[in-house]
Amino acid sequence: MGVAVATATLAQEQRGASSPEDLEAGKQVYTRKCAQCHGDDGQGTGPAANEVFPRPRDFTRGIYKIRSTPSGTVPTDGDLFRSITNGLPGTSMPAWGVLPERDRRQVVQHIKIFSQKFKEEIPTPITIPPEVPSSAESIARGQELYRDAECWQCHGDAGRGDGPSLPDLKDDWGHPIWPADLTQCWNFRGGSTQQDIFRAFMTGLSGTPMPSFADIFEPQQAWDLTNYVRSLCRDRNVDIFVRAVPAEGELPTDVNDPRWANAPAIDFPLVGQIIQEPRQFTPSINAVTVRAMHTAGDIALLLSWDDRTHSKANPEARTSDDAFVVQWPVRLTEGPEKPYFLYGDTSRPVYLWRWTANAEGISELNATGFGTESPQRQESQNLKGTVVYDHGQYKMLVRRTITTDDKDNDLQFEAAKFIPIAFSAWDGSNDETGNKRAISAWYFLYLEPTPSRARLIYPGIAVVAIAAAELFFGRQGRRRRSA
Amino acid sequence: MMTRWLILLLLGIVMLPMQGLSYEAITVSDGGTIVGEVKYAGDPPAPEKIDVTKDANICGADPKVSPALVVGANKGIKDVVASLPSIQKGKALGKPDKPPVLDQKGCEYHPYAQIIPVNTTLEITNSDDVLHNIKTKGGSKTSFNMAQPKFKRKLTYDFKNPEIVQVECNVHGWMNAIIVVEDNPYDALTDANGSFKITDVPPGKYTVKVWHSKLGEQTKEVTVGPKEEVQVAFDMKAP
Repeated sequence: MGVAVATATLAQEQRGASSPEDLEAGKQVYTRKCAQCHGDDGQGTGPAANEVFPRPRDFTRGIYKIRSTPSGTVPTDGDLFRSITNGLPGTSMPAWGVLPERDRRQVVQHIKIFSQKFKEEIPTPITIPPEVPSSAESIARGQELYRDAECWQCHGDAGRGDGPSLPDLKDDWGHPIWPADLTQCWNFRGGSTQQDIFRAFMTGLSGTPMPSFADIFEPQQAWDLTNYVRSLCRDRNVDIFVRAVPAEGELPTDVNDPRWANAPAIDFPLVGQIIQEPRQFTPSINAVTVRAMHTAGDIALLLSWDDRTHSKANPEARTSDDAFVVQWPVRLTEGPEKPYFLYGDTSRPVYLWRWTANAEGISELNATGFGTESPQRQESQNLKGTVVYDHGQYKMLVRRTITTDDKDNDLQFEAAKFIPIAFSAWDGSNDETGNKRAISAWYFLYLEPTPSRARLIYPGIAVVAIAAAELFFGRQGRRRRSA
Repeated sequence: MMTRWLILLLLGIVMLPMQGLSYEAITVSDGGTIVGEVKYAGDPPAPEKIDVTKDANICGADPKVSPALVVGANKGIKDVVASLPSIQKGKALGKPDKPPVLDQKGCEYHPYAQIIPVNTTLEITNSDDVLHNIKTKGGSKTSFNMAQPKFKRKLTYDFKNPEIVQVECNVHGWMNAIIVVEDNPYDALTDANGSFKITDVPPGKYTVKVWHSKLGEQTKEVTVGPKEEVQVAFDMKAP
């Protein structure tokens, strides 16, 4: 017994036992910065807890997702310090790197008070062996492991977190939880470096269905799988405008037309609509990727967004229709004024392209504020388009003529102008319908002017002129020499 | 340096009596027996059906019956954990002859409930050609979540805390099991008739506790005389 006490006490010293002053200071920081979500008692039930998803951590059980320690054990002080400093991407937990380092170290000590586990256990980090550099071969081996170890049961065949186990998944507190969308590595809670991903495999994410593979994978295998998962992550390209590039011939009619690769893809973030009742604090669709092309007469947009479920209205399953809206002003103005971004206002109406899972095609509407949406007359409906759902991702292609006859209600596109564009998205499996939706601010679409033929003519003239000049001066030179 | 070791030594001596709180093995020659019966109070709910929503080729396409609450024809409740939480001394806690096994077969745990002595290694086997993960539900000190893909037929885990551990599979959300980790041999699971028997109990007064994952827990006081058989009955129902 005496020996056991000695070991525990020494370990306490090694971990840097905190002074009463530090603990008091940590409590102060906690009360100011953390308690709103995590609660004064650390139970994760602060005043804001119901408005965030995933819910704030309950510190009283000592269960932490992001650790360098084996499954089921407490994290190290360094792990907690890192989570506080970097935040948990894709959640409401912000990066507190703005706080002085001492504050962050002190608050770590306060958080540990909430669970007895920190007094009973000595955290021992796993060792992370040297990484296997990514290569085509390593990625291919990782892909095989992804299939054989059935990572797809939760994360889906394409990695978008839409696997067949999705409906059953709950965390230790009984709250529904989503598997990570592996194509959005910037939202990985514990970071997205090779080391971060390897660590997640080997420690698991405690309190969640993500298990530890420490007894399953050799380090080489875990690195191969890391490299495969890293390869699923697409490049994110956030901007405030998307260019509609000129296209030759007919515009694509297929969402998978290879010519879409020629159009730059821009990611526009979506957030919950929390300005008007009813509010949606926890939307599941977090971005839309937009590509655009045009010819002299037509414009086409390709919009894609990740949604783990393809939902239609079903009262029994308590789902609504998935839906998406592209919003434009009806009229372009010279100044900076734009319609109110939530479906416009009485002085500045908006023009909407709407798709819902229960209807064929994409329809045109107008609105002067939420709740005033009215579909245009049948003869004025002139959108062509298609929506495809595949492996956790929607792709929506919409085509329209650059100008229309219904100039009172339809936006008339103009080249070389920044045209306001905004988006709304609904995940019918996430209690989203009506004003409970994901929205964007106004962004812009810029139609690059179609290059005129002059671009081809002038270089031609120049070539001919130079050739003629060379010929002329060359002959003169020879004449002189012969003279 | 010397002073520190002295303090630690003193601390150790002071804490020695605390060992008395744990269980002490003695020879029991005139032990009695506690025979118990746990019945459902009132009309038991219909057996809970589980629709197999995935991997039907491995899990079986037919609906399963949940093992979490099984009530027999005589209203006896199966797999209730009976124990004597206050017992301090008694027969030695044996070691199992062969390692206890928790098998995952047909996307069910076999057995649903079992008792193992503390500090025993449980063999967790996957007889299915599909991924399972075995995860402790919140609430126990024991905490783990291990993946077990189809190519990993056997995992092991050492149970170090005497307590009731509930485990689940997240890949197949209906899979649940109970592992009772005992630090004394005076506990039992009820059979299909709701009966249990705890033998070789040293004469004395005891609290008998029954626990069920869906029905909560109850206690009753009993006095066991030398070589006596004591009857105890419980009525449980959903809260």
